[in-house]
Amino acid sequence: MLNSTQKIKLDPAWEKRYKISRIFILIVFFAGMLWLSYLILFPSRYFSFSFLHPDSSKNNIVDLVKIENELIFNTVAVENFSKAKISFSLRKGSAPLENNKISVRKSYRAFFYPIGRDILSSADYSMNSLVSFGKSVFIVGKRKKFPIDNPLTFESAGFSWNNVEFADGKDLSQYEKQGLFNIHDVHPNGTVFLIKENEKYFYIKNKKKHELKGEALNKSNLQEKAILAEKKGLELKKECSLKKNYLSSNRYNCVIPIDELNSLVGKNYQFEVGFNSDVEVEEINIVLQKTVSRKNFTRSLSEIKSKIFLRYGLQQENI
Amino acid sequence: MDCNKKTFKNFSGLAYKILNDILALLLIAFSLFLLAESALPGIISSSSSHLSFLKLTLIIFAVLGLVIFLGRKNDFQFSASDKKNPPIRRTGLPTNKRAWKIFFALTIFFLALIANSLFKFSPWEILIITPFSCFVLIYSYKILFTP
Repeated sequence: MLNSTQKIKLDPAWEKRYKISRIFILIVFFAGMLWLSYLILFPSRYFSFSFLHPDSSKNNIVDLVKIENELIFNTVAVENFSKAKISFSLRKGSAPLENNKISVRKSYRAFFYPIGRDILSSADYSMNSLVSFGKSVFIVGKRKKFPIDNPLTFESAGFSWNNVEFADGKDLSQYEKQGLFNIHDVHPNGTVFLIKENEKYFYIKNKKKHELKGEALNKSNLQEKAILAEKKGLELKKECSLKKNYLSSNRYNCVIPIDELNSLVGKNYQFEVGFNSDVEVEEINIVLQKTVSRKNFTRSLSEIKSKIFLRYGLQQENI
Repeated sequence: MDCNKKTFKNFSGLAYKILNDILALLLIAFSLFLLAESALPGIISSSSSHLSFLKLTLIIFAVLGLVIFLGRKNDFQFSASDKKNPPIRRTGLPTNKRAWKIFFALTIFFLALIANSLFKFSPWEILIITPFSCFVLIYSYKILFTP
């Protein structure tokens, strides 16, 4: 190690103390580096929503809806995780949440939309396209264009680079520019999902997914432009039962193992919890965690490698 | 009284030496973090690692301040201020082996950062930016080091 203070001499006893201190500092430094490596390789993602401050920009749990006796909410996370820790803080005097079930599933937020009426003719809908202009890629359709903020957002939304058309000859100025499409955004109207298992197509319009049937399936490039989704993503739910926290009487929590959801496509985790109307929630907290294991270690390294390749625009096999 | 003075001198020397080591480690860590961040933005500063570059910079300046304070209080000389045997010539080039090592390490570090920052530019933009940056660097160097 560099020693820039060699010329400063101490008494032998103090020199010994210095050598011991130096070893201690080095151990602390390497322990710190190891801790940082652990946080990078086995990351956790934190999500929260405060019902006391529902408009706060810190709320990163999105699309909270209460349907009858169920509260549904979403989070976005690109990496794979091993478990989801969920905790509910209730207001004083609220009804308890003991043993209430909470479930989670993984897919795209737009794909979780309820089913609308079928579309039977190709004239009844128009699909979005991916168009590149300079170094930007836009989602273009319905007189609107959404610039995509970065390659990670592009890939995590399930888009394929093979479907990007060059803007040559296409006048993009006629499309109304929308805000940047980022990783938290939901697929816009005009998106088509293709279900892998049964080859059914669903068209997204006004927060509903409409199945394309009959003549509507005759559109050119339908299969190429569609985003791959999975039926399993809607059906496979992992759950746990909420239990009262030992330390706080108003807090209920539980842990859901979500390893099985890792193989599914999508960037959104949708949570559903059932409770009565007399339950008054103050705050919801979710932590998505990766446990320490050889499998997660190699997976994290592979994710970092993919991100580096994506950043530098390099081709990678078997991402 | 003499004994107390000696103990205080030894204690100050020990603190000064330890703080120098801490400063060196902090600077090495900061350089590594900068390189990692330039290769993959967010890998260090993401919410998961809880590491703030602002806090780290403030800590580095605090340690540096303490090193300067203790150095002045005890009249410890930086090797850079050694007038008889300076590690850097007036021309800016190192004079001894150790200083050369640091010089090369810093050159590689800055080249890596610069090359990475130019990566997203088109070749003609690089052709304009690089000579202009070199001109600014050489001009600054001349102002700073020419006797």
